[in-house]
Amino acid sequence: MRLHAARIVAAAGIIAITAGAAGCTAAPEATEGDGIEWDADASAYVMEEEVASGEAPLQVWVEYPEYGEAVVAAFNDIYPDVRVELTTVAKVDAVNKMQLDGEAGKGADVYTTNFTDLPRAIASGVAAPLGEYQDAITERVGTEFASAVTRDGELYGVPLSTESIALFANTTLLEQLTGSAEPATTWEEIRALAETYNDSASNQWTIRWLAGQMYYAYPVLSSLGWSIGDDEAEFADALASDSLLTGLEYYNGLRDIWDVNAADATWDSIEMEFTKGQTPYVITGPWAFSDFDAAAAENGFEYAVTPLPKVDGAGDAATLAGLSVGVVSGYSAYPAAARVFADFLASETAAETLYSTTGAIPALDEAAIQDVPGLADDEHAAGVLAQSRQADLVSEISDAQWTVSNDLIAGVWDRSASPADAQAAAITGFDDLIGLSE
Amino acid sequence: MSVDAPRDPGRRPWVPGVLSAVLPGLGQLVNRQIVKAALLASAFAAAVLVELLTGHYAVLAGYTPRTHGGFFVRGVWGLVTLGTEPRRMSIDGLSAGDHSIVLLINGVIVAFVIAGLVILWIWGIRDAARVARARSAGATAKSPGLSSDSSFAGIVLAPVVVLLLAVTALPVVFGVLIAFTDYNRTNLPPTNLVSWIGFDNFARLLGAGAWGQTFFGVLGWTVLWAVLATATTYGFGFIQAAILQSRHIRHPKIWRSIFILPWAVPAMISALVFRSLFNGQFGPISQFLVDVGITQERVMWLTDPNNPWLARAVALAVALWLGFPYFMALISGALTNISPNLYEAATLDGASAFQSFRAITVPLVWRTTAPLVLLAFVANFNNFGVIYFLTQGGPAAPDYRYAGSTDLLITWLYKLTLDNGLYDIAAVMSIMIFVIVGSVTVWNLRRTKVLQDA
Repeated sequence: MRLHAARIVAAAGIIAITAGAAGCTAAPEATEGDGIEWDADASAYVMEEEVASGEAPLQVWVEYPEYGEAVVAAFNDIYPDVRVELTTVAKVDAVNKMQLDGEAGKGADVYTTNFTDLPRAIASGVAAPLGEYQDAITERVGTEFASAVTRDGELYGVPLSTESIALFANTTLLEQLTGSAEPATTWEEIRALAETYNDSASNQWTIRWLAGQMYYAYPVLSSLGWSIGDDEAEFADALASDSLLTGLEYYNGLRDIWDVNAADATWDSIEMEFTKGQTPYVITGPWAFSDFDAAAAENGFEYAVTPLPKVDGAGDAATLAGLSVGVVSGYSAYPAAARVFADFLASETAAETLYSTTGAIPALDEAAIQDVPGLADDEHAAGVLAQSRQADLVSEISDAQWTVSNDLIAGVWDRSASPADAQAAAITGFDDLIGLSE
Repeated sequence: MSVDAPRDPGRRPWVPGVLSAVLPGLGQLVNRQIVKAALLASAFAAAVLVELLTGHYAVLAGYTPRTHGGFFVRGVWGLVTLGTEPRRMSIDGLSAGDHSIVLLINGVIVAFVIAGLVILWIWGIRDAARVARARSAGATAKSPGLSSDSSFAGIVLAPVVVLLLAVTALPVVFGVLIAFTDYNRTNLPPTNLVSWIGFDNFARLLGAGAWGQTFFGVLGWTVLWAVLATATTYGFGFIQAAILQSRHIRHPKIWRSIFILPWAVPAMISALVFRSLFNGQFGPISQFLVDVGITQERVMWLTDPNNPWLARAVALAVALWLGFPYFMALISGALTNISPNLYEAATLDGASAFQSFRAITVPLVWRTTAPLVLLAFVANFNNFGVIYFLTQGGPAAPDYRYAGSTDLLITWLYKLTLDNGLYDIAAVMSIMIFVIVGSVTVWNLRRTKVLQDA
């Protein structure tokens, strides 16, 4: 009995080991990718067979479904067999989501994001260079936009649309108050109006904006000659510069005309107040267009969009431009087809679609943008466009830079420290923060 | 193989143990426990088989754990090295390579499985020796087998243990391990490799003056906040419960329903509503105070950098509003469980109402609710929602590094590390919070009678 069972166990063991040995495989050779095929005549990559035939869909993430659907319809006019599956993913979430989904194999082949997230996308491998399309895209959008999405000579994104904050003026109210519907061009003019119009007790303010953020303070600082720098090393120098102190002191003085702590100034008390028609100026961006258009019709006022005021006697107010970009995922299983679609996003048709469906201003050079139907007659968009022309297209502002500069601006605005002390704290604070990740 | 085994294992009871150490199950076989032997042996055979099938063992020339290893070998290799070959970006996407974080997670899973096998191996040795010893002492011929109660419990509970390991232990171990790596924004996989750096992150966070100062400053407020928020909610809940219990109250059910309402609304929504209400410049509370002439100027409840205690007091008040209904309901339940006889006896002895409250109600209620007070302390220590949605940590504290006056450790950790991609530092801070909260909890639980009796 015992011997019998032992034999069974031994036999089972031998069978198992044999099966194991039989199931063994040789290690796969480490292969390098054989690249993707470029069709020089058509100036396009040759799509993978599965995608070209419609067997496998291309996954695309866009923020605005109506834009996505229109673009895909236009794309299918050229490539009728290709199936594109759209998912709505906000641009600010796209890179975070790609970092997880890409590795898991269920990410997008092409997605849209803000160019400020592009460095992180490149660092984490979810943005791939566009290869042969580089020159054609650069030509269409202009070198300024292209250089903002280029790293080490490789183009990592397709510039889609540009945006910038600008000065929004209630011209109907301005005419009543000053006799002129012409929006202010300097802070001094706004200050003059504020002296009579501001009333803190009834919360009547001449101008409102998100005062505690670098994004909104930058136009004042840049008018006084400060520039944020193009990377962390330049930013460290910029933090220590005298022009920053000059700018901060001036910005600190603006507290007189908008005397609200940074954290108390919210969307409700800025944009929503402007829609009521009792605020002459707000600083905001094109995302407020639809709310303002509706309110202007309802409350019977007109508004104008113009470049931001400068400091009297100083330079133009530069904003930190926004740029949304289409990106090819590094994880894409169909790198050629993904690039064909990404390239299409930069086409004239796609640019027109973008403007007609979302009202966003396409990222094109100055000559090409005149050709977008309707845009030339759009006064509000023209105001944002005019501000965009004097925007600083900073290719990389890291999260650490945002943390430090927002902390600095909020501190100066809330007057928790003098501008000089706040600047000194920002310099050491930036060193400390960088030190945590070195 | 049994041929070489001693015919009478009973004389030398350690022999089956040694045999099981050499080959799991062999000792049991010698002990004539065939099923147990087969199960033990097959568990280890399965492990070997998994390794052979998931690895590449057909051609052993040029064997490296990275290229040829299976589940176990490659898992251990990944845990130790965190990868040697980063992926590279090229025109046709990412090249094949190692993703340090995936390797780390796989490595932890493999370590768990190996630990399980080691435990099984040790159990097999001890079991073989124990059975043999029992036999030689002349115990029953039929040894306890798989059908015995203890084995049955083990088998039935095994899936739960596996689930617990996967859901609870795995993320915790992963989080702890991240603290000893350089996983941060400058070093993101898959195009970079993460590596082990020992205690460098701890030194960075606590060594540099400003971070240490901020950490201990925020820690001080966090502890104070947790104590005050717990004490006030418990105290106020107790008072409400006692009042509702009183015979002089009409319609106690209606009152109870009203008081429970704050608890029924999601805390995040409430915090956002309070944020609007307490908006210094635009909020209705400030406006009301000015309108009726109580204050000359608007009160900057949550944003006044010169008066951080005002924002802290408002945060505590909001936490009280959110938290007292829970304790009120809890203590109401505890109160109904106190026998009326005790009060009658006290009255006969001439005790006043206050005396019976102090000597009967308070100790009995405390005895039942003490463990929950402890849990409330821990919850308040990590009360992310109230602070993050009410004040976002503000008002600014100039001496702190990127923390405000109302920031708790958890909100500071969240803002500092996730906004800036400092995952390694986040792990270090989580460990510190865990150590603080964990030691307070353990210390308190050991002192609480209720749980010892249970």
